[in-house]
Amino acid sequence: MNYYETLYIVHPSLEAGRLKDIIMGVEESLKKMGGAPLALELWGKRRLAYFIDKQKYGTYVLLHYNGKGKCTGEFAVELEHNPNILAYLTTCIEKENVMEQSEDLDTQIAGKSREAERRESRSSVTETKVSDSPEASVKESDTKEAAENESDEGKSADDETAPEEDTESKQENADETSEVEEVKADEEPLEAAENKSDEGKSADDETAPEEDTESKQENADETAAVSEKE
Amino acid sequence: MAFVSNRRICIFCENNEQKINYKEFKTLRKFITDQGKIIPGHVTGVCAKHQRHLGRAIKQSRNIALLPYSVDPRHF
Repeated sequence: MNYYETLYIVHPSLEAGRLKDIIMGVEESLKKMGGAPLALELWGKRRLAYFIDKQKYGTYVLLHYNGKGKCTGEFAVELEHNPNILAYLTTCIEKENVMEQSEDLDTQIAGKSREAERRESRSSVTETKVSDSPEASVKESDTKEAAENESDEGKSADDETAPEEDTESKQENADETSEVEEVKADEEPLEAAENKSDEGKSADDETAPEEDTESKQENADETAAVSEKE
Repeated sequence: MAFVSNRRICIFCENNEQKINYKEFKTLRKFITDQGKIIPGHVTGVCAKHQRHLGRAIKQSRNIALLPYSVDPRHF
């Protein structure tokens, strides 16, 4: 009787329930060949150094057993024909190196699944942290951009309102200027009329008022026309 | 001038507790290059006996996909 150890890789897609079925099936086949399983250790899901059957990951299972030399060959054929076993390696070991199984298979599977969950959670946390920082920066930049946009919008709103104000102010200024011009126009004819009236008074006092009114109207029309042209 | 020996001492001969096994791929990884080649003993200082054991263990690790057969240097 010799002692052997077989390390085989189970397909990574098999989860806890089916993984246990596969492992138990391998042990049963070993018992049929005349071997006696002594210990079983589940390494868990690991990344393969190279692709096997297009698979990047695999679940490693280490099995210690004893039996005659003939059983290893038959066991190897059994593993070879099992589609769920990606690869296997059988080596002869000393009796001293046979390990003692401390935990049951169910607890090992549960522990490995917990470890896998922790790894996934850690990886997800790191991913979220990594993703948070750019998002935060993006958010900050977005807020900055939003603030800038708001300020731009305010500016644009001001700009939009400004032309109206400008037009209104222009209109007001235009009205004021027209009023001023009208006032000037009113004042200038008066002055001119006064001057003329002074001249007319000196010339002829009776015709002066009529001439003054006519001259006033003419001057007012001229100033209005000039202001409109302007 | 005194003779200064540059000969290294085999780490496996120094430390008897350190066993060469194909399952300890982290230890074996020190004795392969980035491309996956086995580093010769005169470079690492491993004696001939342990270099034989190392070569065997590295090849077994490669067989079960714990160590790579070769790594493309373009993918370093």
